[in-house]
Amino acid sequence: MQMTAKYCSNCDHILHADKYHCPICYTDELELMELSGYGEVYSYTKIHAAPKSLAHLAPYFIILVDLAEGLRVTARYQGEDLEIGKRVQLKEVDGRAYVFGDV
Amino acid sequence: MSSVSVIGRGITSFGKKEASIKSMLIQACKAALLEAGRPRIDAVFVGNFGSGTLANQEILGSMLTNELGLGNAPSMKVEGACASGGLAFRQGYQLVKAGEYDTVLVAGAEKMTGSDTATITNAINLAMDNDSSEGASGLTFPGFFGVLANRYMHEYGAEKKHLAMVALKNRTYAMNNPIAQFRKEISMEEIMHARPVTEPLGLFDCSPITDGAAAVVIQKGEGGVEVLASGQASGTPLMQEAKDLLHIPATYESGKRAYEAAGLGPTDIDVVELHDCFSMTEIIAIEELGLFEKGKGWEAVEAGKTKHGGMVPVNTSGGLLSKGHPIGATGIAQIIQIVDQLRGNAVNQVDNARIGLAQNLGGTGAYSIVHLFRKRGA
Repeated sequence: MQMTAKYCSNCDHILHADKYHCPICYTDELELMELSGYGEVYSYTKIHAAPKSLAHLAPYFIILVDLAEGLRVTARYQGEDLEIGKRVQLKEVDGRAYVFGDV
Repeated sequence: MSSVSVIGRGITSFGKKEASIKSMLIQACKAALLEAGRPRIDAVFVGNFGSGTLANQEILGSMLTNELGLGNAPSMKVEGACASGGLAFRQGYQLVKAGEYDTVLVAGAEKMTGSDTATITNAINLAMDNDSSEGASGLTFPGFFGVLANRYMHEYGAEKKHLAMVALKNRTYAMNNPIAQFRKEISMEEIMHARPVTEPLGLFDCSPITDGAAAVVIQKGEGGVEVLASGQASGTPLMQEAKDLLHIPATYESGKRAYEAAGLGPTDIDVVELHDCFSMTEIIAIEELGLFEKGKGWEAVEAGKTKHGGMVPVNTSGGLLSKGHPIGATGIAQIIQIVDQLRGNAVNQVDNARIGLAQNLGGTGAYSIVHLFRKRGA
């Protein structure tokens, strides 16, 4: 599963894929960068009270993942057993949402 | 520099109410204006988050000015998510301090219970950056503080029971507050075993959906509780961009700016109202405001340092958790509790309170605002 980030070569700065420009030098010329999709869980929660559009998934886990490349992303986790520090891997991109699972 | 004071206050009861946003605003403002002796009002500021979505109504400033017979006084609505009320107060305060106006009316209100849960959830989610993968992931407002709580407990050794202690303290205070939404006694057991919302946070760790309005009159001079300083700061609205999830920099910076402007520090504060939208948020805020060391807020709660008989009583009104959280009214309601404390006639009065602090947070740390107050003549 492919996961990308944006990269500002002026500032040597990795940005989330949905950024429009570099907030440091203001360039719009950002490069696309391939990410491995592997990371470690920094923290998590299990959401029981979900927004209407995701109510069919509830309860579901939200994780904050430290990716191997140094970027931190908010994502969903599909699986049962979760703890801080667990290694996870990108499984799919659902719309704009990243969905991780066990390695 | 000239002094600025709060010379009148008015507030509705908080909870699920039949009243419209207009009638609640009129009720709170009328009480504040009458208490202030109906001074000539030079401008009106109304803090509100989502009246368009939740109450089918905008132009709150003009509507209120008209209903109160304030002539052609300039007016506006101020929006900053849950910090809307605090931001409105700051606009009024700064303009009086700058000499532009002598007397202003600042109100805050939210009508929430008239909508179904899905509409309310969607409206609240407008206070997140939805043009992002994070917004699409299904992270919610309480979800942010659930993620934060799990990491906080992992780093510092706090437990779920420490979150519950915050909820219990604030409920205990609310039991004495006639305007509070929740005044029924609850036990640690009930809090610990309540329905989970976003683990580890349960029902009592989360502020409720509330209707209500609050208002104050601010005037130049020393005719009331003095406003010493106002500090405001912004922060990222995205969890994945927080440099350190366990810090809310907007809270820290707004506190620092207010302390510096007033020439005061955390040890000078006698009583605090802060933004406990979740029990976890209160623990982070007491640390960011310098009242307790980073990572030790939970120990302070456990040792009873944030209530009467401790170091500094926090949220003596019952806080957002139990007094209720009508979004736009919250910042003004916090200020009213501090004004009452410094007048010496508050519910859960703190003996000899001289300096008070009110902190209002918007979003998950997108906005924070801190105001410092001093007892009249102290």
